[in-house]
Amino acid sequence: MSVEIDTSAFTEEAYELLSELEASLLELEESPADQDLIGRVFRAMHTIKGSGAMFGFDEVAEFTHEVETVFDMARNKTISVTKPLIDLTLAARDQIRSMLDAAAGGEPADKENAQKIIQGLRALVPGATGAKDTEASAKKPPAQASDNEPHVYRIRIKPNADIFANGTNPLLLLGELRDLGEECQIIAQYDDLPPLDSLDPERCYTSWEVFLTTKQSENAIRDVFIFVDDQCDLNIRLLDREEVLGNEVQKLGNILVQRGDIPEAELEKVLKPIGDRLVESGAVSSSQVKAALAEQNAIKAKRDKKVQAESATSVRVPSEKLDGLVDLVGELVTVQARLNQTASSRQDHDLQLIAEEVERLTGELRDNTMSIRMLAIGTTFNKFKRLVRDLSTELGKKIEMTTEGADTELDKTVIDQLNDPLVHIIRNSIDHGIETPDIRIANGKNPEGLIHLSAIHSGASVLIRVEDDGKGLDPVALTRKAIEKGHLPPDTQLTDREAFQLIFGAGFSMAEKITNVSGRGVGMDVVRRSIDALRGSIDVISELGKGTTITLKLPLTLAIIEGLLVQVADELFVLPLAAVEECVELSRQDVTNAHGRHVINVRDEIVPYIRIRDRFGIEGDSPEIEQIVISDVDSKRTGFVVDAVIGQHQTVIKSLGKNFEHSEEFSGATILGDGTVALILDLSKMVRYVEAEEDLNEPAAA
Amino acid sequence: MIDFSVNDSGDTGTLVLSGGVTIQHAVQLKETLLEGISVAKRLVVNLSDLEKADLTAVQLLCAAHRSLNDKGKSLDIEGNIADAWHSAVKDSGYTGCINTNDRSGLWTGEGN
Repeated sequence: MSVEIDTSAFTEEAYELLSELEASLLELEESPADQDLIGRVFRAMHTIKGSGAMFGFDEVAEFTHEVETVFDMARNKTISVTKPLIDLTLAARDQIRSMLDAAAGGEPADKENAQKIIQGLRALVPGATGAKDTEASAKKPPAQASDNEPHVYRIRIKPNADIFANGTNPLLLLGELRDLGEECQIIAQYDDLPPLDSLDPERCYTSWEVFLTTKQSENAIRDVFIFVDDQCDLNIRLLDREEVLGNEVQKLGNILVQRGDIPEAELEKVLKPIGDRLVESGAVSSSQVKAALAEQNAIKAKRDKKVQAESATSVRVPSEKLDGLVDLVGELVTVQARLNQTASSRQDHDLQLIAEEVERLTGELRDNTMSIRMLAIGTTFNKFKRLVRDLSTELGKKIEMTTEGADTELDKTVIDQLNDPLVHIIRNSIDHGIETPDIRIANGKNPEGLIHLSAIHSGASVLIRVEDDGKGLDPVALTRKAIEKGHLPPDTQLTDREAFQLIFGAGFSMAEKITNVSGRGVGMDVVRRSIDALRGSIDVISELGKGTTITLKLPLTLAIIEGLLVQVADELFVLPLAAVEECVELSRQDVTNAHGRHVINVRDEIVPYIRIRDRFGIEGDSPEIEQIVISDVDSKRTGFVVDAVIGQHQTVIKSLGKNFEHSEEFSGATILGDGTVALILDLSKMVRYVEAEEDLNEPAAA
Repeated sequence: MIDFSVNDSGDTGTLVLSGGVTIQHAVQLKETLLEGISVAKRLVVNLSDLEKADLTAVQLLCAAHRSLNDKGKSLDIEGNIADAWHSAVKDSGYTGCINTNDRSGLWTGEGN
């Protein structure tokens, strides 16, 4: 019989810590003296090291130990934070990531690179004459306590009974404690150990009192437990410091409380008379004593609340479980719609009341479930700071990146799929948008370019903007290039907005040469496809010489769609409401006036349309007056002709399954209250298919 | 590895722990110890080839030792106690556990 230790919890946490580490390092580069930031970097590495060792990632632990050691010196102000240190630590962060990837079955990590990083870090240590010396000094960092005298600490450790289940080995922690001090006495408390027959062999029944004589500070002791602070009760007490004994009466009370010999309430009872006595002696007024007690209570209440909040702030749940919950809620929404329909058709008042109540609860349940999957976009933003830093250095440009709205929340699935398109957009801005410092100066601009990344809620969508103050897009040049490459027929006239959309065409690039960064005309095509897959849209605004703003409009969630339900013969379809602009009637006369061309005049604007009936070969005659749903598809107004518009419909999206995965004109399906299935149309794919077919059918026009 | 056998007369059970005995083996070790305590009057433990032990093994042997004492049965050691066991006892602070006339050397934490 054996227990498989699940390492996924560690890797997941480690990836998060690496992101945090990267963000902290980039911040630290801006303010190298910030001790809080240095502490954050140190803690992130310390946690990766400790958890890594516990979960058997020895290589990660050993490597991280080396980096951590050097950063510990920065923490103790033995060395200062310099650009080479940040560069090497960032490289180390990447190395740890590749080690983790390798452990998950990816490419093996480059060991030579790891050695290079370690050598580089060791070279930063003052007086380092060789690797061995550095290692020796690294393993014994300088004393952290304020003086050089060793002190005795009493450390009480009571692990949670299920601490083994998290992969924690308490003996390793005790070993680390032992390494901190000159003398260390570990006494196990095993009074709670039950008789063998009732003992759960995978639970921890032991707690410890450790007496440690060390020159290290209390913080260094706490650091040992930094990654298990929620898995054990820790009580550290300095036993022999004089200042502890300064106020004998009060400190004695504290000692008794801390040892658990008297409850704090008892101590308060004794303390109150002291206040009374001080009032009696005229040293303070009763109101002063009251205020002091109130202050004490307030601080205590705040601390208690904080501790409570910290322990209850988050629960880590695998996303598959949430996906399962969302699916179930989706089923429930469908059943609830059927219940509503049945209740209203039977005209049973009681049943209707129940149906309404169920509808309210289902709605709340759905909103709550969706909100669980919402994540702040800040983590994604932080990744780009690193990208901007590295690429601008590579291209010899100076770029500052600012962000706004990092706490804007989006569905996890959307955030996961947003990374690639944003990388391409930002790369493009850095490579083609922002000019080199000399050109910027010549154009009267600040030599440092600016990229501003922002996120903001807008109804049921989130707008993500990437703005740069670079050279902007030239609509005329874009159109000319597209014509040269044969993407557009000659003499095509485009509006600026349409011309800007050309950059998202497959194989389209304005770059004169292909660089490491971009220029192959692949990236922006990927952006459009990714954003389409997210049911989002892209808008580009640009002013030549001033800069470009690319706005991605994304739905808050992929699980629910706000749709417009329409009917063609007996078939029902859903059009994403976010794209719908207006509905107009299409009479037989309008069709005749257009001489067979699929266009209609709407307030003096010619709008092309697609007949859904023809597109999907739906049989039957169309009604006398049809409806055109005019939608914004890739910044162009396009109509979709249907028999009737039924109305707005919020619905849970079901995937079509493997058999229909090639039906790209549908993004999914939904089940209506009466059990009917309605297909959800992917408008932009439909338009592209129709355009491609027309180009094939009418080559002469091209 | 955990290996348990009972002699022909059925009064002595021998438990051999070798290689690594850690949380992965904890459930099996408990079951084996329960069996050893119930079937034999005397439990002999051989730790000479033990290479690694963790807190779960220390907790289990301590609980088993107490159960044997309570039942008036004895626990004896066969062969040398490997350093891995002494380290586990010392590292976990279990030194001095069961001082009721314990001559097994299990809880001294002192290497050979």
